[in-house]
Amino acid sequence: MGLLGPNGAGKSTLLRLMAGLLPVQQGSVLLVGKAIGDYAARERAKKIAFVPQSTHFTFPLSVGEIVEMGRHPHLGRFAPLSREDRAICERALRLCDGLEFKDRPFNELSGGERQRVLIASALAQTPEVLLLDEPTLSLDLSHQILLFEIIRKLHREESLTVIVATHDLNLAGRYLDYLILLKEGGIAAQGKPKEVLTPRLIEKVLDVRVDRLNHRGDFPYFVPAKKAGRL
Amino acid sequence: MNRVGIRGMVLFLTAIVFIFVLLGCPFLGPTTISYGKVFQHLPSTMDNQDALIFFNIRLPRNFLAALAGGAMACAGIVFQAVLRNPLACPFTLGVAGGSSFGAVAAILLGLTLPFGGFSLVTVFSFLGALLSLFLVYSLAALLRSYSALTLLLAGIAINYFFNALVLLAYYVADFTQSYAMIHWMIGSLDVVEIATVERLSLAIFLGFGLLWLMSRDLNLIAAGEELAKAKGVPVSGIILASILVASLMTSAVVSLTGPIAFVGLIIPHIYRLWIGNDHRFLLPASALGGAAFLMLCDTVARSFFGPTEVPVGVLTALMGVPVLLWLLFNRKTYLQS
Repeated sequence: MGLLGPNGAGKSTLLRLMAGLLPVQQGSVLLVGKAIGDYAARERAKKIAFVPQSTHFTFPLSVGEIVEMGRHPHLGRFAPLSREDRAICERALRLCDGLEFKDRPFNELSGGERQRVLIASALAQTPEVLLLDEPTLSLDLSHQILLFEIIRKLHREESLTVIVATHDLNLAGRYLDYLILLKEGGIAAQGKPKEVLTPRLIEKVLDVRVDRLNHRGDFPYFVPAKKAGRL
Repeated sequence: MNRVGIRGMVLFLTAIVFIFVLLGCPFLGPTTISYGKVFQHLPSTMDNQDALIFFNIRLPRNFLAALAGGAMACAGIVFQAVLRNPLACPFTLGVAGGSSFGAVAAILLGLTLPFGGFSLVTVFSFLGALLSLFLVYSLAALLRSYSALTLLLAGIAINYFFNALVLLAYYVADFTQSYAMIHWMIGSLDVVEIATVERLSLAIFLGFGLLWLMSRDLNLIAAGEELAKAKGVPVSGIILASILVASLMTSAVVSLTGPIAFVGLIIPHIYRLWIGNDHRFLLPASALGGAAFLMLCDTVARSFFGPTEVPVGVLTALMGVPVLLWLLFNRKTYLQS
């Protein structure tokens, strides 16, 4: 599922509310029928994982250590990782195509590699829901595609619910099953990509005229038209 | 050797050095004492001067150095982790300023009597440290933000405030008083009674235990508050608890020794370099290493500058600066940014 919308529409805020990182002020966020705020922090982290926009760590950590952090909600205060924990971490890293840099320092990785490691760390929580905040930000084209391929694989093969906040209409339309367009903190439209991604709705929400091209497959592609009357 | 192997090795070697220094250093000093004579009759008699020096003067003082060094190193680690700032140290939240103000006020008012087994200077200095903590937390509460940056800035502000008051007290004090103030503020390990050391050790061991229990949580908080929260760490609770424990440990130590510089900054960095940033290992290793380091510094301070001794705070600062510079020049492998 994808969250789309202009800057400041509330995509990141909504993700953080869903992840239980921000207190809910109005309305409610329900996770398996229970308010997110009623979960203890550890219990919540076993069900829902959040991947922040790529981070920098003040104190250097290896990729392996960061992935192992995902096991935190499952571990006691001092218990070392069991063989099972290690297997889960390794599988998470393999799913994200990151086994080859397991022993490298995180801060030396490229943007795309970092993002994959952070996703692996979230997967190591063995959650039911995975939230990603603009995961393709600052990634080059091939890494953007790779990332969405991974997301689709996680959904299809691991039956994870994945919710992505993104600016990329084309990738969202191509890889995601359900989209919500946000504007000014409210829902402007929601539905399957084909229903939501129409030039009319996009202009309404993103304030830019677009032309729709039909690419080989049956997913739509959008090219922005010139912005009239500005500059 | 792999990471885990190195970690175990460093911890083991540190423990060995710690034990040697703990039991060996009291034999070194301006007065030579013999091993045989110290343990001649146990319990030792009043005319056995070597045993008197060993048991009544050097051993308590060495224990105080160990407790102070270990506590400062642990507190430094916690502050660096929670504030995510490699330059944070136990004094970042203004504890040094507050306790200095307390001590200086007591000296200025001529309060040198003992109170409840401690000197009034110690009592006042501890109260001063508590006051500075209270002010920092009140500021944070007033701003409705307990974030790292708020605490850091509030701590700096409070520290400056108390330092100004210390300077004022120093200005109005007479010559003897100002000497006592300077002596206190450099940080030194004076002769203490074993009973004082016993009480301090209770507080330090308790504090260390609490911090160690939070090791895993601190690992995640050091990586980032949001990340930690997403991985199930009760972030604000752990931050408040760990900073409070670390600050109280610092206050207890500083009220007895004065603000000894650099131990709480340098030792954590050396061990971060050697064994990495997993607090389950970093905390005990740095505690032992910090203890050994301060005991060694104190032995040098009281042995090699006869007939007087140098305040240990001068030595730790003199040794701390080169180490800090060395870390700076090695930042490619270490403080990589």
